[in-house]
Amino acid sequence: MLDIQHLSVSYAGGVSALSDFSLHMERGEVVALVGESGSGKTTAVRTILGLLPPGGTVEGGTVNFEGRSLLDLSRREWGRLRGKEISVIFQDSGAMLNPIRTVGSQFREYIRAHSALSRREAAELAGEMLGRMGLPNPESILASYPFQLSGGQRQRVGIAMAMTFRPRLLLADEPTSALDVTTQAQIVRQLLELRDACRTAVLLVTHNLAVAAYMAGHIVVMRSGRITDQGDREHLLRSEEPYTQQLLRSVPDLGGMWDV
Amino acid sequence: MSECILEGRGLTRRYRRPDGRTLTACRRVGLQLFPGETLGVVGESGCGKSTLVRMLAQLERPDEGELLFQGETITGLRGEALRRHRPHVQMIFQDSAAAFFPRMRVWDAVTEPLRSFHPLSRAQRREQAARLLERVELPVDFLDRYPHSMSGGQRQRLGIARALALEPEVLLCDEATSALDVSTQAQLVELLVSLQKKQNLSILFVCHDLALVQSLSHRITVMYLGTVVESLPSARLAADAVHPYTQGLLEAVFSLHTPPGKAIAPLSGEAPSPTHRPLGCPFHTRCPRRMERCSAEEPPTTVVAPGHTVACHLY
Ligand SMILES: Nc1ncnc2c1ncn2[C@@H]1O[C@H](COP(=O)(O)OP(=O)(O)OP(=O)(O)O)[C@@H](O)[C@H]1O
Ligand SMILES: Nc1ncnc2c1ncn2[C@@H]1O[C@H](COP(=O)(O)OP(=O)(O)OP(=O)(O)O)[C@@H](O)[C@H]1O
Ligand code: SF4
Ligand SMILES: [Mg+2]
Ligand SMILES: [Mg+2]
Repeated sequence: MLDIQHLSVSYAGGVSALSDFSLHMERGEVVALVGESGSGKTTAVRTILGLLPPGGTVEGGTVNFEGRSLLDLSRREWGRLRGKEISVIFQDSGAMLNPIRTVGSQFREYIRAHSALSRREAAELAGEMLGRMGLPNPESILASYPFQLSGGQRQRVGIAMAMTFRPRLLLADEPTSALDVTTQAQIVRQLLELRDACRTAVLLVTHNLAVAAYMAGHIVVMRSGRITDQGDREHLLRSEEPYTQQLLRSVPDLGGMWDV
Repeated sequence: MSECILEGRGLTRRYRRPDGRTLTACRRVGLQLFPGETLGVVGESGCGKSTLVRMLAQLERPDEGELLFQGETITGLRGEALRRHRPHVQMIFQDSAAAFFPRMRVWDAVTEPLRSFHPLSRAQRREQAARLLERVELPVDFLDRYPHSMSGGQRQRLGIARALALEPEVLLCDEATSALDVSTQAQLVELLVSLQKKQNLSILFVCHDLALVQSLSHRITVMYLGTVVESLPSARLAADAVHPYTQGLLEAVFSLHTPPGKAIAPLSGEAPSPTHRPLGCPFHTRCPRRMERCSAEEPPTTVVAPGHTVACHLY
């Protein structure tokens, strides 16, 4: 359903952020992108979404979604696709909420922009989605302004929104790094349930290798804009690739690694 | 043990929710931080960790309770006295550098806190900035760059440099490494550990990654719904933690060897809302070992081993 071939992207000043990046995803598949800071993971996600920041240019390659090129869609076409068929969760999705409007009014507006639901139905759906994210008392969350929520509560509002329309493709860029481990487990379970129920394809960007290994059937390791290694979990755990080994060694384990 | 450097006694903080109800974000939290020590704080999203940090940093006042710095109360400090206290306790956020003004160059940004305390010339500030960059192991030629053109890990080092500008005794880190990839995270933690050793810094480290917290902390405090439920030496976290919530946390950690098909069992039961604190033990609505009295009596905090306290009726 998603097919990327030889994609190259650069930023103003000639910074090459992605080189010869290829990726293929089928419905219901979970693929993880891992790699150090600045390796181009977010650039890949933004390119797929047609949301490169100013100065970012696609130098070459193709991105096809269900047979359609995503690189030359009009704004109107994106308006129909984004947020509904292709959704995204950013690490700071919560921070993208408008600070001077309540969470509820933004969530309702989002739902009504993509559906024919009434105000009341939209409010109910929003509450139900928040409940699934393990947020107690969704009405109180909906009545709040973003500053009245904790970081993890805001993030879960962002995740709930992205999952509302059961997208066909979900791009999740560090969705759980602001969440504690039990909440993270709950979100991981919700993502997998969405995948099972709707065969949503999930592209997961994460620095948590353990979560990647648990969720993804295919893991892609990136460094300096290039894919350096890829394969399933077993492949990675046994990989001879030096950078993959270095990443695996940096994963802290309960037991301690520094002499403090 | 030596005298504690920063102490909170019975810290309580309430917020008014938009629906008019009162939410208790922190409830009688007691906490001691000793010189040269790292205290890790973990707990569920929304349990009051950032609220606690804001009180310790004196960005918010507790509604009840007392705050002491080197044994002296600082709860009521205001105006000039508070301003003079500020350098002692500094904070780093998840993306501290996002708080940098976008048009400020690195040298200006890291020495900005100095401006209100020491009148320095431009040349002196550049010199200070170079020294600070060196301390956080950033190349000196970053002086004239803009923070937003740097990577997340580099920016976070900048955040640390700025926090160190005023030579604090205490560094409060609220998810300071959560946005970074594992290897960058590891390097940053290594930096914190070495700074701590050189300067006897005390660090309060709030983070969701239990293994990471454990790897750099001497002690760990576990919070649930605004209260401290367990505190123990971090080396004993995995083996000796006894509070049912702490055990639930440990079970929820993904490891590289978690089999992909394994069912994930996040805490069952509804998370209680902080506006409707349950009576008795705050964890009783989800506790697998709940007993009759758990829903009626609040468990007292008891010492189960040296340096290990727990608030649960089982102990
Ligand atoms: N708006 C921008 N302008 C110029 N360069 C940019 C911009 N955004 C990113 N870059 C550069 O492009 C490269 C790839 O960045 P990207 O954000 O895609 O990395 P990442 O893998 O998502 O990193 P992280 O793990 O820190 O989020 C980096 O060298 C970065 O400095
Ligand atoms: N200004 C505010 N007004 C009203 N409620 C608030 C305010 N700030 C925080 N809260 C509430 O207080 C509780 C504790 O929030 P806090 O930010 O301290 O949690 P946290 O433990 O840091 O969570 P996270 O891990 O998600 O960052 C939450 O329920 C939050 O909604
Ligand atoms: S006091 Fe009771 S409900 Fe609370 S943690 Fe202990 S056993 Fe569980
Ligand atoms: Mg990124
Ligand atoms: Mg917080």
